Amino acid sequence: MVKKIQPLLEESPKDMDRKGLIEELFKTYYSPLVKLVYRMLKNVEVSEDIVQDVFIKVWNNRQNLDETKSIKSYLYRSAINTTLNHIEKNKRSVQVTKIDSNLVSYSGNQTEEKVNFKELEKKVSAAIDTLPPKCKVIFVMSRYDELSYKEIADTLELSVKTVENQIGKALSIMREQLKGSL
Amino acid sequence: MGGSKILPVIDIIIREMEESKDWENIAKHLKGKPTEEERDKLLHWLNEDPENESKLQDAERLWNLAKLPDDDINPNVENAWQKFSSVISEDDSEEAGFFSSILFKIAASVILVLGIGYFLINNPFKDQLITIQTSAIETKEIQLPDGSIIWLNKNSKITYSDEFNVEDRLVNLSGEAFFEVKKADGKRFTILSNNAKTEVLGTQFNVRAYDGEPEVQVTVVKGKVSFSPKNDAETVYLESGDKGLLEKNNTLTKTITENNNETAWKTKKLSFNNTQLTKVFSTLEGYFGTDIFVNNGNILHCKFTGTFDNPDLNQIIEILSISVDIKYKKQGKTYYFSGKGCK
Repeated sequence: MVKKIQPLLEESPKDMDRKGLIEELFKTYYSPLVKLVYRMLKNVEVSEDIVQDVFIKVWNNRQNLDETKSIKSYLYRSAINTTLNHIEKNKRSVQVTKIDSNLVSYSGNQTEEKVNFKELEKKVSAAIDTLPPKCKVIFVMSRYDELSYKEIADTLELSVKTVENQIGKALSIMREQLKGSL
Repeated sequence: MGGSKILPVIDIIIREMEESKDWENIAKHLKGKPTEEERDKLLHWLNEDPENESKLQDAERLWNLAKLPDDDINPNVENAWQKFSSVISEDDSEEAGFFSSILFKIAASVILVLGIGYFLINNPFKDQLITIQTSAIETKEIQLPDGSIIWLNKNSKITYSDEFNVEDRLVNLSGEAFFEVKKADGKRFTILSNNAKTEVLGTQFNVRAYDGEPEVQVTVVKGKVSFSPKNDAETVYLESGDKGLLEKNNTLTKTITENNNETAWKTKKLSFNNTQLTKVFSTLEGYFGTDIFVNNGNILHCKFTGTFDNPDLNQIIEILSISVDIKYKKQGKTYYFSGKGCK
């Protein structure tokens, strides 16, 4: 009854154009995608593998791609979902950076000195790493890739309200983490 | 004293809900597009409590500090592209290492997934969507988690969530499908297709909603079906033998099913009852994907009666040409009829 959907895997005459298209996509989005995934996983090799896989999926699905929809959104969504699934699968092995609370309150007490901006930036970055993965990816997208809430919502197929809610959650968790040093 | 213990818990819940709402508003303020009203609310909220002002200030600081440095990692795009293009060129001389890599496993699993016709859109944010589709040369029978059965005609696709039957039963259809819906604790079964919404509790009916066609058609075999445009502007109720039509401009019409050959793709049964050959030919063209020509318009006025299980085109043509006394010639998938015809 169930047959193989052959046309999806056949080479079509359009394949030559598609090779050009995928090269353009790859060269445009490979680097930003790797950076985003790396921000989540902190592992260069795995991040590069995941993004390679995303492009392979696009390539294998090339006959099926809906050209009316944004391929950029598709790439981001695919990369993020793969990343979140990866985190879910490797829960035990992913290193969660815990903030050293002593360090935080110590620098918080250095009232006389001007707090080193770079250092604070590092702490904020460490606080981001402690966010729950979905919350983190939304926060990172809004800051790192300078995407609007609307763009993030469209990419992840969420409502704008959910995005705002998650950003709010990220801010409140981070504020709690960094109490005294802000 | 005893009863008052409950209150603080509720207080905490309410406080947490309000907290989360506050932070949502802060988030909106930082980057979103707050409306005038929301801005006023925020100002009001700031004046309520000095703690609120400190929250907003901290949020703003965090926001600016979190502008992440770019130079942490610098991927080599050219190397990555070389690697990628060697994978997609499907060269036989792949390195052995490739087969054990994640890439190969993923590529293989993608092919496998497509091979069995199921494509899971894996989005951890949402319900997983299950999509089943047919090519131009196949039909499929699908059993849903609630026991309902869908026969999917050619070039068609259905999508449903893995949460199907948890709270509701919702299916997206493009193309044509025959539904045999089981009753399930009063849970409605809803089909969205193009601009149409079809709702039932339990029954048998056909939905035809191919993108290229001007209307969505629902034909009911058994039971009662509610049929409306997605915007619910109006609704018709269809029963056995009824047919609903919804045009692209949301014009809704209820008519009767002219013949039961509309679901023949599923029942594998064609029947004609004193039917004009115009209709017979268009049914045969649709069912068998053949082309039929006549050399004389009068042929189309002739009438034909006959019922065919598991119909065979050559057999039907043979019987038909004898019964109305016309001749035919077959060329590939095309039939040419000639003769006097009927008045």
